[in-house]
Amino acid sequence: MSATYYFAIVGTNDSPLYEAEFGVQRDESKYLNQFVVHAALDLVDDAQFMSNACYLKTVDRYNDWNVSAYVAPSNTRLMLLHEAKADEAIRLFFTDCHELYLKTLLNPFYESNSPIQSQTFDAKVNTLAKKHLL
Amino acid sequence: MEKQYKTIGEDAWKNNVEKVNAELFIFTYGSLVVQLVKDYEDYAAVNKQLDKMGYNIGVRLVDDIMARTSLERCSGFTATAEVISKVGFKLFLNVAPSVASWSADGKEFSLIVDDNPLNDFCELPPKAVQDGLWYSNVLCGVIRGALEMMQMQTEVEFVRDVLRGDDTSEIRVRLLRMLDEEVPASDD
Amino acid sequence: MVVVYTIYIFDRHCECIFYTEWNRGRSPLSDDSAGRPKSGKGPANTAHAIDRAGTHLSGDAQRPVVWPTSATSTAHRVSPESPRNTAMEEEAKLVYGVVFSTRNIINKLNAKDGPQGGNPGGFMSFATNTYRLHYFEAPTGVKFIITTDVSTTSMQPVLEMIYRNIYVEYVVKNPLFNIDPHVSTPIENDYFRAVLNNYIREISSNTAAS
Repeated sequence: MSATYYFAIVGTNDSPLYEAEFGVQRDESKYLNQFVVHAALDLVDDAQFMSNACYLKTVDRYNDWNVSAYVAPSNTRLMLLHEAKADEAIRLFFTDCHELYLKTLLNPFYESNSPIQSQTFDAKVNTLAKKHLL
Repeated sequence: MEKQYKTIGEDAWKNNVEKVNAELFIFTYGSLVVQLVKDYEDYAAVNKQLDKMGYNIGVRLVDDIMARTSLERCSGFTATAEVISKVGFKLFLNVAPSVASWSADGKEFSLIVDDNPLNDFCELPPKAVQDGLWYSNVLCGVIRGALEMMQMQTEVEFVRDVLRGDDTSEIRVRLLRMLDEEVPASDD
Repeated sequence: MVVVYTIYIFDRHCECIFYTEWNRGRSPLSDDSAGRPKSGKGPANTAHAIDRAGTHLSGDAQRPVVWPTSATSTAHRVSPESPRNTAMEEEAKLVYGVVFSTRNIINKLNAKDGPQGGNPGGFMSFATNTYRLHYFEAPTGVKFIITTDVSTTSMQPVLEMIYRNIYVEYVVKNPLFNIDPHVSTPIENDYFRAVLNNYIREISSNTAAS
């Protein structure tokens, strides 16, 4: 399946901590992705008070993109742009990514709200994407 | 003989040691190292500070070990190595590194620390790896301090560390000389 | 019943880092030629005297004399003029000399002597017709000496107890105590003194202890 995904972690001050693309790369959409995710943040802010769950499912649509969000208790947001709907797979992906993010937070050398540069993290996220999404 | 130290270490660990939450301990150590890195901005200096801190811990810990167990002074350096691993590490970190790579003259050995609890959660930034930070260098100081209290002057250093991409962590302990007991100064 | 007269603790540098006495008639601390005020009278000790008056209602209301303090210690004298108890210093040196030589000759006779010291020969005590001196050496080279009445034969468990549960707990584990192996520091920890004093009091009154 030639699906495309764009995944981003957004810090508490709305700055991007991490971003990754899975599946078929679309060069033209690079900046558009960031833009769509950023625009969806406001909707996340609204949606998070409607639900007790961390996983907010799809919060926004842009053309053929769905924007799913997962709000960690620290208000760090995990955002995923995807085409096909697959709530359960995305929920699992988010939960696992959240756990990975927590492990990164435990690293004494990582400062919270700073960009995640660890290659291990990157590799693990890609593995998770393969497992749950692709 | 080895067996006996193992039993001593395990008994003391079970009955005589107050435990502390591992995460609290690991985070305390982690933030200490990170703060040193920030303050000194030089990884060699951080290694040195960690070693010094360890030394100050070691000179105290050794009395603590002696008070908790009924160990006698070791008969030789081989026994010392076993005690460090089976009693010292066991008592304070609940791991027992294996003793390996003895030098021909019996004055140097390695401690292979397969599971170093201090390393948990830690991932070194590439710069730290490149500039030679030994994250758990405090352990070297502890061993050096403890051995000095037992009249052994040693050099202790990390030679491998999983955090830096090596397959295992290895601490090299080198006996420089046995210190003589001090004699009282004469009156004149 | 155990009658304890004195306790000395020597560190690895042959320095007396702690001395205290009970029931001792004539002591170099009380007839001090250097003019050091008697214990409890100096400005530094006033607080202790008050503190003790509050906690101990009967028995001897005096805290036993201790020596050295950082003001009087040879290793840590603040200035050459600060009061110094020469008689006590002499006595500590002599005591160290006696136990050191005795231990060495015992090690030698057992063919277990070595430059690293230690007490492999197992020197435990010697007696005169007025007192008995008991000796314990920790593996780290700290030496504990206690003098008692002649009839008390074994104080080894007591000395071990003092090392394991009082010295290590209240001195070694006190982060403010300077344990630098190259410098001698007198033990000035009040908690240590109080616990030690209570312990000695306890074994002195316990008839089964001997």
